[in-house]
Amino acid sequence: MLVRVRNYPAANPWLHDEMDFDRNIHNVFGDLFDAYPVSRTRAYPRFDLAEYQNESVIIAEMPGVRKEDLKISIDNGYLTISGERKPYDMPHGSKWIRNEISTGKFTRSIELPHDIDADNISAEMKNGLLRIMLPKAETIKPREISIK
Amino acid sequence: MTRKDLMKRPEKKESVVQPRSYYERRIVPPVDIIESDNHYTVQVDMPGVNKESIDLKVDSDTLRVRAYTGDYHKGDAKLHRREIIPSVYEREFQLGKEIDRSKINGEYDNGVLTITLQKNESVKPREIHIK
Repeated sequence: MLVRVRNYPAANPWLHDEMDFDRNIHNVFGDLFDAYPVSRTRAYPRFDLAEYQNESVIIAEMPGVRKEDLKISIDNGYLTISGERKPYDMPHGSKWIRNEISTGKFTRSIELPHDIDADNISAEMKNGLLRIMLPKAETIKPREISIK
Repeated sequence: MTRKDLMKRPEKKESVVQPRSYYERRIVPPVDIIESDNHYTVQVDMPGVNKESIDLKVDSDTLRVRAYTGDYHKGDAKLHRREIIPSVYEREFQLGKEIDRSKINGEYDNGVLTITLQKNESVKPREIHIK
């Protein structure tokens, strides 16, 4: 083989990818561990959901996904991201040496932590990260009450 | 090595992409390698890094790529869900003799680093002209 890949061991075994641990547990024990609190298979895409004073922000990792192939919808307090990562367009006469990156369709939903102002949602794609800004609905924003 | 040693924070070294906190971890990013007639294309999935922070180095037979994602959240965030942890992506490739070390290109787009490795002239397939 002309280009060989070396894998690194984890820098510290206690920091090793806990999601991999979940997946391995699932591979070994299958449905026995259904009650396990974290997602039992590796959910894709991975999400972060952060709440700030006036908005919440969802960050999802989606390298190689084009924004034309992505759909975001909100229904009944759930936000759904669905899309497709298109396979690599192989030039004529080329061949695979290694293929670890998976492609295909995905969909994932997340429950929103609060009511949102649906008219002012915005989203952007940068460096393979999807960032969705969800402003809070006026009714639930923190405010000070003036005393008359 | 005792259990106590293992629990210690990783030692800090002089490097731009060294893990900066206990919660950061190292990721071995998935790669695709495709061979064409006159070059190899290597794709590395590394979402969330800035182009400027990608460290791509060739050292005789080894091509090494490293990058640090940084933290995506501001200080006052209340995290309801956290699946993406600040990470250092790190992967090494061993290069064969037929790869031209002076013509290695990297391009980062949409979370994917594409490295192009040109083959030396001598190994490229060619037609031989019959006199």
